[in-house]
Amino acid sequence: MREADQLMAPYYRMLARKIALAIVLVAFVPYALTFILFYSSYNESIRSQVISALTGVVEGHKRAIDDFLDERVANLKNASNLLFPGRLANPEEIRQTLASLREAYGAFVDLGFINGQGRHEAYAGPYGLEKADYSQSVWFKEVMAQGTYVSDVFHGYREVPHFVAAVKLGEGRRDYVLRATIDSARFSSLVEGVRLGLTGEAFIVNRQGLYQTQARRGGQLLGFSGLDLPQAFSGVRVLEGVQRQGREVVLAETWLKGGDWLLVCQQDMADAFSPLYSARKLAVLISLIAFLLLVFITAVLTRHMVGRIAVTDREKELLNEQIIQSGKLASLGELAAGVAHEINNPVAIMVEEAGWLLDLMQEESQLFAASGNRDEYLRALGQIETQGRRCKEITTKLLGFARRTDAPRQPTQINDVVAEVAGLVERPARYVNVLMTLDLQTDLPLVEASPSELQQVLMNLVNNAVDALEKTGGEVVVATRRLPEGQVEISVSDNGPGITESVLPRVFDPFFTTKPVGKGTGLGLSICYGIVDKLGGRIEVRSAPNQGATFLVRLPAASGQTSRAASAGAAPTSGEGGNEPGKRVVGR
Amino acid sequence: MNPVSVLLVDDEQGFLDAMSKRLGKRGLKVRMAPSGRQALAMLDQEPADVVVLDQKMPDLDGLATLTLIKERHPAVRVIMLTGHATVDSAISGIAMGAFDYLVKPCDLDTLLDQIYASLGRK
Repeated sequence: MREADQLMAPYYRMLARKIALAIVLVAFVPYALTFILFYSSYNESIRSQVISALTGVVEGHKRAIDDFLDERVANLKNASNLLFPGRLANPEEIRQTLASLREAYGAFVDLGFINGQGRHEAYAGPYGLEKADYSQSVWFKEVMAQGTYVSDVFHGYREVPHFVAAVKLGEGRRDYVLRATIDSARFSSLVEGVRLGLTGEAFIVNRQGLYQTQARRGGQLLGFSGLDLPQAFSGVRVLEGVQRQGREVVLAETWLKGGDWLLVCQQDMADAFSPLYSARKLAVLISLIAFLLLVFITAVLTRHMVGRIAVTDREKELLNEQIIQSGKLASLGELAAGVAHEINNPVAIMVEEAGWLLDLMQEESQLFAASGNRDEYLRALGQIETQGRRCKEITTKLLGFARRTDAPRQPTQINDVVAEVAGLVERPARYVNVLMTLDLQTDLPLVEASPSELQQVLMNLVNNAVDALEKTGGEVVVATRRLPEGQVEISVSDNGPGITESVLPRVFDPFFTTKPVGKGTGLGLSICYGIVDKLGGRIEVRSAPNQGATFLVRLPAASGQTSRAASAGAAPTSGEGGNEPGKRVVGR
Repeated sequence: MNPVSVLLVDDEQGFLDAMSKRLGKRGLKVRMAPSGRQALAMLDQEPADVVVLDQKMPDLDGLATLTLIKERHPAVRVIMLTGHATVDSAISGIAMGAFDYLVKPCDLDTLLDQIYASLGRK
């Protein structure tokens, strides 16, 4: 991935970001929507459970308490109907009535029969209220006006909570009141016994906000509840998220006793919604882990993918460059062929004209014999012919090299190819202090190959060897020899720095190069490999650090070809030496 | 023995001049044609023993001229000559009946040898 890292240009970073974002969005948005949907419906169901539990408690207790109060008032009314008017003024009758009420209902503490002036006609009970005057009491006035009265709760005898119930009895202008103190423990215990979850409780407050029953948490009887008392309403009201005693609670409330008391059932939000909260916590945790995992996997995948894309792009770029390069080479080849032709014609004329002059000099040999410059004339004309021939050699080489088409295979003398390549490389090699040495075996068998392709192979190997010695200078040895198995071996050795072990297995890989960027395409050796492989041969490399490198090319010898045939058919390089310099191919 | 008659065909007048003089000096009867068409016309008028034919010429090139010569005058020997060396054109030239194929600039002695060789003379 190192190469990919180098390629992490802004373009690829942007690409990676876009891909990652797309993957995360596509994966996570449906998840998030599903999560929200399920969460909200779960939330709704938990909420309705909580509310219906609270509402159920409040409704049930409202009925029970109202019934309790109504019953006590009805008890009083029944008693008065039985006894009124004559027997009620009798203290003994009152005592007996109280006793029977206690026996029947238990809750009655005392009982008093009061006349229209607010004074007891008769009293039974523990408080000793026989002399009490109620004429100015609020409750007395109310019962006289309304007919019945039920008081708030107060601390009564022995700190037991009580309330007072009274009914007006009357006939004409003489009104009486039957009044009883009633122990409220009966309905208090009903309300105080309510338990919902860990914190759910119920209590009653009066219009002043004072507790009428004991609240389990911090609510003394008759203590101030701190509740914000609502306007009168009917039915049950539910409030969520109310701050009470430093906690957030959900509460259900309803008015009792005709709007005098408020029955409240409350539970901490944290408690009531604890299944929801824990489910939410778990879901958030799972989502978070899933999200992190997703992000991690996306990052890894994206990085890998973009790395691959970058590498592919780079390879494509290199391939494009290569195609452009071969296009350039092809046009260069055409150009070279054209130039060679155009140059050969004028050179031929020059050479012929020089020859003509020599002919003429021969004709007039007596004339020239007298001239002191005769030898100079001959030398100069000879030089023109020689240099003309050299021009031809150069153009022939150029043509031979420029031709990159898949030339047909023919029996080829490798020594000739080696000599030609060496001739081309020798001079530039000398500039960097590299000495080229050829060690060619005579009577080498021919190989069936395309000379231009063999040239290419050798050129690449020799150039690589020279490049390896560029800094230090050294020696490149190109040797050929015949192998016993009917093969020909060409070795190209240098005494340069060698190839490290890690690089060695990869030298024939396409696009692998150790040369600086822009210098090598990494294709040279892989092209060599391809050509040699196509010819049915093998190419291998032997090297160790500081011990130079040797490339070995083994090619099968052409069958039935002798070394004599080689010299007769040394087609591609026939311009080299020989006493028939103009001869190219004799194919008969 | 009659002198060998040679027809030089090339679009390079300078080459024709120098070459014809040199061959003429060596006892050959030399005529010159600056194009393939003219060469054919001259052959129709008076046949030659050997035609030395340039490969690359405007209008009718060497191979086309060779084809026509071989059609009309099968006995005429043809030696191809060119500044452009490709194995392919050499092979096709010889396949079409040329005696040999030389690359310019060629050694005069080589050309003479080939001319005589084509006629079976030494």
